Amino acid sequence: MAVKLRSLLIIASILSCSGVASAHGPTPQKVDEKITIAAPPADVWKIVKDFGAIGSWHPLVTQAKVEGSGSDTTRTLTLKSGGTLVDSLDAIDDKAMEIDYRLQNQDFTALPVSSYSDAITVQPAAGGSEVEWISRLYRFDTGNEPPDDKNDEAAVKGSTDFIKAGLEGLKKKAEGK
Amino acid sequence: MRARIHVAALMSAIATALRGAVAMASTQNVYVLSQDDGILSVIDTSTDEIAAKIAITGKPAAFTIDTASRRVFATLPDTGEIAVVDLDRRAVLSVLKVGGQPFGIASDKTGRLFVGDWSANRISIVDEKTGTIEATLSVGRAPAHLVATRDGSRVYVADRESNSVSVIDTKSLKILTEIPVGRAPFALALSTDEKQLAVANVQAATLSIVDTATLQVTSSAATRAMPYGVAITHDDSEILVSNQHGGTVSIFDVKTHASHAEIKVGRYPEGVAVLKNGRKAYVANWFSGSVSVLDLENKIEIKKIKCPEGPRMVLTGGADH
Repeated sequence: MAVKLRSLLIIASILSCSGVASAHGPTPQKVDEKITIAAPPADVWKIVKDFGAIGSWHPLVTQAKVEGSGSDTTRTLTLKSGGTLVDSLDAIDDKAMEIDYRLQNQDFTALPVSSYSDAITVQPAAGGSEVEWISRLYRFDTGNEPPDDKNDEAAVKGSTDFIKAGLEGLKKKAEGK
Repeated sequence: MRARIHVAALMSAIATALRGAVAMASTQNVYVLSQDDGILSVIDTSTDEIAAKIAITGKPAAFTIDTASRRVFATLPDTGEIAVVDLDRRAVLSVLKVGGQPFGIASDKTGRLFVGDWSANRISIVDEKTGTIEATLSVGRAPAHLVATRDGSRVYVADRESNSVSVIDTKSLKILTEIPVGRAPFALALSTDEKQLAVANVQAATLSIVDTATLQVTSSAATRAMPYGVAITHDDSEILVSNQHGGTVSIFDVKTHASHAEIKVGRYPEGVAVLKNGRKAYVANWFSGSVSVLDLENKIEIKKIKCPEGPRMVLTGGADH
């Protein structure tokens, strides 16, 4: 906890020094991707709900480290690109088969976004399950004149690619391929 | 024969006009602002259908209604502008250029707008006719939503990144105090008696209640994850909080601050508004592009109205509009 607080303070001081505009402000963007998986919903949900297991199915995640517990759970993902994403867990709803979490850090190397809040849901579908991964996100540069690699389009593209790769990986894992 | 037809036609016209007048007197409109499509939708709450769509150029984020001038003022953060909408003509009258990243907005009922600048951490006081900035006030970081008292004497500001609420005396243009609340306050709602201010803290997942006499937090109940919108019923008995994660609206008892109902709505719900008769509430489902209509007596969703993309804020108009 003390370590976490200290790292948050460091992040906060980096943000205030570098003059990065605070997250949010302009227009939130959305990503909505789905995939059909030939496995029972309960089996797929078991994989999805394991917050720290994403490294075992997302091809772009090389390592996932979980810290804390309950409503104070975070995971630090190391990506193939070398960037990191720190997610905090918001909710796991077994009945709705939905997991919710949001981004705590900003790392351009990982994703060109300043924040996101994501939800992954599993539903029964013909032939097995349908998994939907949705994201509400803000571009990396939330000022009014962002460069091309930090604008809304870049944020949506980066997130869509990350989510699509994740769903493909989840499908492979769940179908045992 | 001809005269009789005229009389019949006249009678029918009068009957239609009367029905119209009765409908106008009893119907309260709800206004929904869709950021992505740039549309202010007018929902007729007698039918719960969209009666009109007013196009606003750009990506409007937040708005306020001036009941006296019958105008809506909508902020355009990307272009540093405020669109002025005439509610009778249902059209944009003009665009005020204020600069910066205007987000939250409130009217002080004397022709002045209080407008938060998200990235400059200040409130601009703007003449609503000319767009002239008369003064600026420094507040906490990332001012989100603003709410004014009915007489316009006070404006409350949710300072999202400072985890506080700034209280502005609009006559002296002084900040009375900054009240510490939970992490990332975003939406605000005043009770009808204006004795309580409800604050939804997005990252803390709490609902702070501020006593407006002492300007102290009197309670901070836990909410579901990411509470993004808040409203208080007109009789001051219940507080509605929209939970962005999970897609629900929780209903809290004003006296006990305990949640006694949770209603499933659309995805990533944000703004909430309650009708003055207290029976229905309207919720903007940002991700789904819809508005949920809630029956507050039975605590159920009775309808989802498809609306333009990116709905974030909902307000109820006065009884006459």
